[in-house]
Amino acid sequence: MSALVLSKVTVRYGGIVAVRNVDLEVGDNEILAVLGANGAGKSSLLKGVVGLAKLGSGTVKWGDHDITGSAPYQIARRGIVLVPEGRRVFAPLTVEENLLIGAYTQKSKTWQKSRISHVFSMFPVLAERRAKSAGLLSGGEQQMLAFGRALMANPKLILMDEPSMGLAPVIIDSIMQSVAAIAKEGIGVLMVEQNAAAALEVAHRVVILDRGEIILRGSVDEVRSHPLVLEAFLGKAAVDREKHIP
Amino acid sequence: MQQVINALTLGSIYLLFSLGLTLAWGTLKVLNLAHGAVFVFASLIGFLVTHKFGLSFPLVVGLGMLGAGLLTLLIDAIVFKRIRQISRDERQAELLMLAASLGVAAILASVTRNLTLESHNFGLTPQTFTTIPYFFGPIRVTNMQFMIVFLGVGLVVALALWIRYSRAGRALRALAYDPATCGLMGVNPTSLSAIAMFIAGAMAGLAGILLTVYLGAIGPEAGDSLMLKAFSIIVLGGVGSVWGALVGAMFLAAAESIVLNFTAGGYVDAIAFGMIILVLLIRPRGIIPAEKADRV
Ligand SMILES: Nc1ncnc2c1ncn2[C@@H]1O[C@H](COP(=O)(O)OP(=O)(O)O)[C@@H](O)[C@H]1O
Ligand SMILES: [Mg+2]
Repeated sequence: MSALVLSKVTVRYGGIVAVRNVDLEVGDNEILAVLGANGAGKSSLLKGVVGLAKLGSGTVKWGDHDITGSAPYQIARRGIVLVPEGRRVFAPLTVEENLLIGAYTQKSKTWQKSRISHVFSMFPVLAERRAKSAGLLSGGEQQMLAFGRALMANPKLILMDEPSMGLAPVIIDSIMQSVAAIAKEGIGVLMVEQNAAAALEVAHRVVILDRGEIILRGSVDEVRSHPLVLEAFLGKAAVDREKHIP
Repeated sequence: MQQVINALTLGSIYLLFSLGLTLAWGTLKVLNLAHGAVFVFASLIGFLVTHKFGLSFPLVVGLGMLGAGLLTLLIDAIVFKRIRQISRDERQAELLMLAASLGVAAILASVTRNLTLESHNFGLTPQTFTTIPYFFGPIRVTNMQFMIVFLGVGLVVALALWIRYSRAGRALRALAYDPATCGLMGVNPTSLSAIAMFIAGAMAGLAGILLTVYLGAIGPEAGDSLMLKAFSIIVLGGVGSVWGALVGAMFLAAAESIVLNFTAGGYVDAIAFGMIILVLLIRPRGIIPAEKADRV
């Protein structure tokens, strides 16, 4: 059993502290949601884990390995894959080529073939568009491609940066169902989201990040009814509604 | 017809030279101004090994390509890699690389001048390659011309297939589009760019040896005029586009030979480059923009 363990992680950009003293842990099979408003430090946290941002202090452990300060490609080769904010698909490459880049660390052609059909069965629309340039896909399809590309690496842990961003409500539902399906395969998921309602549908545990610091953590049910969360994410109306319900 | 054969030969040399440059520029965003000096360096290797050891032609070609590839790799590892690390953004990196590679070119040029006894033209020993002419009616084609055109066209096809279908080629296209995300896929940018730089250098080396044998000898400054031509060829064809380089190289060689046929020769560069400017004014992104062609 491998787990991702962050201890006292701090990420700084010059004088700005984007993430301060964050401790958290993600195991396999589980979905940990990190909720926070715009600018809370969610992306910086994930970038710190995968080596895209340098840690000011703290450590990142993956099972028995200390991966603090490793380069992004080294972390990817250990089975930790980031699905970045805004999907970042390789627009000029075809859908199939994007998936094959995802499998860069998995050189066996037969393995790639069976994995691609697995991804296609999960996201049938990608099969239909396999020869199209990824840049021509809709936002929802690009998010599916970004998930598929990550799955091609045979990861043990997927980090997701706001997968719901910019998508229509119906599409968000289906994306969150995919997140649940990914975790069912035994892959750990660390998902950061601004859309608390969507994330709470599928998360197992929740952490609230505010201005770089963790201010609350707990199970979905504990967090869902917490006034801090209600007010910050679900709107003032939700707090009032909660109060009036006996 | 004789002119067509000669233009085709010259165009193939331009092509081999330009391919490496456009590969590094289009995918790694490295505009290596020392590419011409690397080209001359391969001829220098040919000059030295044939005069000292009398090596056979295939060996000379192999050594020239290996030497030029390793030299480019060395420039990448010492200069470009460092610039990538210290640069704030891609723009600054490109500018610094431009300046630094100009410096590298100057250093290599003075090394070459010293090793070849001060700016004399140099070539391989005549016995390294025996030129055999074939006549088709009034047209004369040599075995060297056959080889140059065959290698030029062959390597264009090979490079295009490699970029499109190989694992490394695919990763290079992804790297060109979004290096940070490419790293997240497990691609080591340092080793991938090393592969591309080696290929770029080796192709310049091949062009260097072939042109030296074709002309008999070249001077240390041959790289400079070739750089200028390659620059226009690449901009004409579309940066990073392999097929664009083919079109651009043949276009320039044809333009030059047409001009040479009708004028005294002094205006070759002016008219040939003038034609390129004209084409660019009509199609600013080149004849075959890379995103529409082999980099899609
Ligand atoms: N590359 C950067 N340089 C400087 N400041 C940054 C950079 N990236 C993010 N920040 C700052 O760090 C804070 C957290 O940003 P970010 O991690 O992107 O938040 P989130 O993903 O939660 O919206 C913000 O104040 C943001 O302005
Ligand atoms: Mg963000």
